Amino acid sequence: MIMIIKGISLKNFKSFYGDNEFIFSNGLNIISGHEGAGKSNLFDAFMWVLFNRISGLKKGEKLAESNNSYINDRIKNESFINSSTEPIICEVQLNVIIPEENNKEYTVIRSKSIYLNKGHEKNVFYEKNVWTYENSELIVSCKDKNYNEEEYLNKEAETKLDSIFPEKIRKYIWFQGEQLNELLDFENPETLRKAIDYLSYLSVYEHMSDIISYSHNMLENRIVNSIRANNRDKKKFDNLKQEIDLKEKAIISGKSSKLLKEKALEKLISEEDELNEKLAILAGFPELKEKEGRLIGEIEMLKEQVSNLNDQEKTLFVNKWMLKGTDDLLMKADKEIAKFINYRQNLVTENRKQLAEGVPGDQLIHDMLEKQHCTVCDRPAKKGSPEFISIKSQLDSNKVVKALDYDIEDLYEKIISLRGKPSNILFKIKNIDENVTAHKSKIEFLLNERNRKNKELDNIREKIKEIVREKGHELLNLNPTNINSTLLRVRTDKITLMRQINSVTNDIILNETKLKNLYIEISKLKKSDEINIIEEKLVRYTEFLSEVISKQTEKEKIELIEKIQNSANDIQKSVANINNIVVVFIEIDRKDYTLKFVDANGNPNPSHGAQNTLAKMSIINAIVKLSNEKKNRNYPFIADAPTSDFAMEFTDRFLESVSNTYQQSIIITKDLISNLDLYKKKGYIKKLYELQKQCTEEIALSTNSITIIK
Amino acid sequence: METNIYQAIQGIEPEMEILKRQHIVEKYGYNKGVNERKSSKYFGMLWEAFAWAAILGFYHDKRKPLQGEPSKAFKYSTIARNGPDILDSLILFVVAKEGYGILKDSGKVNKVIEEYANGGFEIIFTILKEKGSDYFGDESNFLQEILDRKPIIEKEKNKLQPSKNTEIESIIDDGEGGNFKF
Repeated sequence: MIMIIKGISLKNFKSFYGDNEFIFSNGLNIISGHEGAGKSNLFDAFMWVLFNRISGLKKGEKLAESNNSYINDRIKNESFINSSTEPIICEVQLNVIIPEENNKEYTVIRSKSIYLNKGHEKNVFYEKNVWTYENSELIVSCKDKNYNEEEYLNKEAETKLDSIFPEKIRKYIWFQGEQLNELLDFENPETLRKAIDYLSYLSVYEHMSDIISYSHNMLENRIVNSIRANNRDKKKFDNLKQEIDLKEKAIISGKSSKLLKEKALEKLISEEDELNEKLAILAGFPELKEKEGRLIGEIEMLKEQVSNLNDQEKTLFVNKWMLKGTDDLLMKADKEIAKFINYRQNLVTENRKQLAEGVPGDQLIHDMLEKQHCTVCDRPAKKGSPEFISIKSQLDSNKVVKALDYDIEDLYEKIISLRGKPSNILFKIKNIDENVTAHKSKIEFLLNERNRKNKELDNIREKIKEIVREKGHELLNLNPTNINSTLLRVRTDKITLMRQINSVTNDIILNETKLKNLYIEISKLKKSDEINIIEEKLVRYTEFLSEVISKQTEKEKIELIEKIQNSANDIQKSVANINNIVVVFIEIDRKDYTLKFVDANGNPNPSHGAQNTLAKMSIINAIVKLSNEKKNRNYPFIADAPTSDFAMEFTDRFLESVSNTYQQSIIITKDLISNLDLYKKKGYIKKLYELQKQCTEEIALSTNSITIIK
Repeated sequence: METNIYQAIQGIEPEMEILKRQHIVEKYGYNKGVNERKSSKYFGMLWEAFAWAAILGFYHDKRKPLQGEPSKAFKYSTIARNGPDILDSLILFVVAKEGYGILKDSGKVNKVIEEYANGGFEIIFTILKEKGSDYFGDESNFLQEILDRKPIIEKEKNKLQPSKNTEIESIIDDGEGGNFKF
C-alpha cells in the first residue's frame, strides 16, 4: 500500500504568514533554505497536522490548548495593534492519496483559533493572557474516485488518522537529523532492538506462538479429563493432577505477572522517551545560558580593566606624559640655574679674597675678648659694651661671605630650590613614546576583546531568544540536572524490570517443561482401551508447531538482521564509495543486537562523525525498506536536516539512495542551498523548493517566502 | 622675604581668556563646582587642562599676551599639591625662555606662564580646526597629540606660524553661527 502526500498548505503557522502551499510529487522532493528560513517550521507543520505535536513541546503538552507558540507572530502583532475583533486562524492542511485504495484521497485539516482579550493593550502581543483560545479542531475527510465521501471530526478523526499514519512508526520515518542519536544509539543495543521490533514482523510470530500454546493446554486438559474418568489408580492420578493444576496456575500467574511487568516496562520506555525528548529540546540550551553568563562576567571584567587603565592613563598623562618633548627646555633651565649658581659662587670667592687682608684672625680676637681690650685701636672693650660686641662679631668672619648684594641673595633663595630638578624630571620623562604606545596597544587589545565578546554575546542572546520563541518560555523552567537524574532512575528501574521479566520468563519455561513431563506421567495412567487419538495427535501437532515457530522466529530474526545489515551496507557502499573515503561496514550481533564497525575484511574499524550518521541513516533506511516490503506498505519518508553532518558528495549520494528507497520522500535541508542550479539538473530530484526569510525590522516578525525551483 | 620661587608663586592665580577657559579648560577639565560626572572629562581638575595648554605653548614656542577680560580658575598652590613636577617644570620652562633673572619676580613668572598657556590654547584650537571640533571627544586623541609631537629638529623646521586673533575666532565660530561647540 503506497501513500503519496500531494501537498501541504500552511496558514499563519509559525513563521508562515498568511497562506502558503507546497505541492509534492512521487520520488524525491527537496525543500532547501538557509538557517532561519523556516525549514524546521515546515517539518513542525507535518508533525502538528498529523500528530498534534510541535517540536519543543513537552509530551504532556501536546494537546495543551493554551499554547499558541505555533501561531504566526506577525498576524498576532497585526491583530494586536489594530485591536481586531476577528479571530486569528492557524491551519495546516495535508492531502494524501492511496492509489491502491481506489485512489482514495484523504484531507487532514488541523486548525486553531484565538481572539484578543479586552484590556490587552496593557500587555505585549506574545503574552499568553492577551488571548482567548478556542479548542483546536481536526477534520479528516476522504473521498474515492467515485466521489464516495466520509468525514470524521476530532476524536474520531484522531482514530482514523492513527489508522493511516500510526504514531508508533512516526519517529522512524519522519524525523529531524538532530534526533537521530536518540533514535539509534550505538552504545545502547536496546534502541536497535526497539527499532527492529517496531518496524519488523517478528511480533506476528509471538502472537502465533501464544495461540498455539493456548490450544495446546486446552487439548492437554481434555486428555487429562478423559483419563481421570476411567482411571483406576485415582490417588496417583489426583496427585499428578494436583501438581498439574499447580503448575498451570503458576504458569498463568507467571504470564500475568510478566504481562504486568511488560506493561510497566513499556511505561518506563515511554517515560524514557519523554525524558530524552526533553533533553533534545534542551539540547545546547543550558550550555548557551552558561556561556551567556560567562561572557557577561568576562565583558564586565574587561570593562573594569579598561576603566582602570583609563584612570591610570589620566594620572600618567597629567603627571608625566604631557611633558613629552620638553627635554631641551629642561636642559636649558638647568644650564641657567647652573649659570646663576656659578655667578654667585664667583662673587663669594671674590669677597673672601677681599676680606682676608684686613680682618684679624680668630685667635687674636679671642685674646682681645679675654683681655677686654682692642689691640687694633688700642682702646678698652669692657665685657657687654658695644666695643666688646663689635669685636666678638668679627669671630669666623673670614669664613662667611659678607655683604653680597641683597638682590643676588634673594634670587639665590628663590632659585636654590630648583637646583637638581631638571635632571630629576628629565629622568622621569624618559621613554614616553614607548610607554604611550604600549599603553595604547594594551587598551586597543582589551577593547577589541570586549567587542569580540560583545558580538559573541549578541549571537548567543539571539540564539537563546530564537530557541525560547520557538520552544516556548516553559523551556526556561526545564532543569537538565533533574531530567538527567530522573532518566538515570528510569533506566535503572528499566534494567531491574527487564531482569525480573527474564526471571519470570525462565520460571514459565521451567514450569512448562515440568508440566509437559507431568502430562507424560499422567498419560501413562491411561488404560490401553482409552481413545484420545485425535487430542493426542493434536497435542503432538501443537508441540511440533510451537517448536517450528520458535525455530522459525530465531531463523527469521537472524535472516532479518542479516538483511538489515546487508541492505544498510549496500546503502553505505553506494553513498560512501567515493574517492578518498573509506567505506566502513556495519556488523550487527545476531543475539544481543550490539553493533560494531568493520572494514571490508571484517577487522574492527572505528567510525566517527559523518560515517556514524550515515551508518545510522543506512540502518533506519534498511529497516524501513524491508518492513515496507514485508508489510506491503510504503510511507513517505520525511526528514529535516538528515544530512547536516555530511560532506557535499555524501549528501549527493545519500539523496540519490533515498530516492531509490522510498516511493516518496520529502527532505528539508540547508545543505544544497549554495548549489541549487546544480541540483535542479539532477534527475532523481523531482521537486525543488527554496525557502527564504523575509526580514522585517523586528526579527521576531520575519516571515518566509517560497520559490519553486523545479 | 619669600624662601623660594616654588613657594612664592603658589599664592598667585593665573589668568586666562574667558573664551579659552570655557572652550578648553572647562570643556576637558572637571569643574568641581558644576554638577557633572568627574569621569566624563579627560582631566580630573581645571589646572590640568591649563597646564597641558601651557606645556604645548612652551613646547611649540608659542607665546601670546592675553586679550579681553581675564578669568581665574585656581591658584598655583593647587598644582603644587597635585602635580609638583608640573609646577616645577612650568617654572623651569620660564627660566629656559627668559633666563634666571625673571625668578626675582614671581608675578612676572606667572605672566610668562599665562602667555605661553594662551599660545598653547591656540595650538589646541588649530588641532581642532584641522581634525574636527570633536577630535578630543575621542579620548585616545590626547595620547595621539603626545605621539604627534615631533623631535625638536623636525619641529623647528615646521614651526607653527603664530596666528592672529581673527583666525582663532573663526576656529571657535566655525560653522556654528556663534554657538561655540567643540
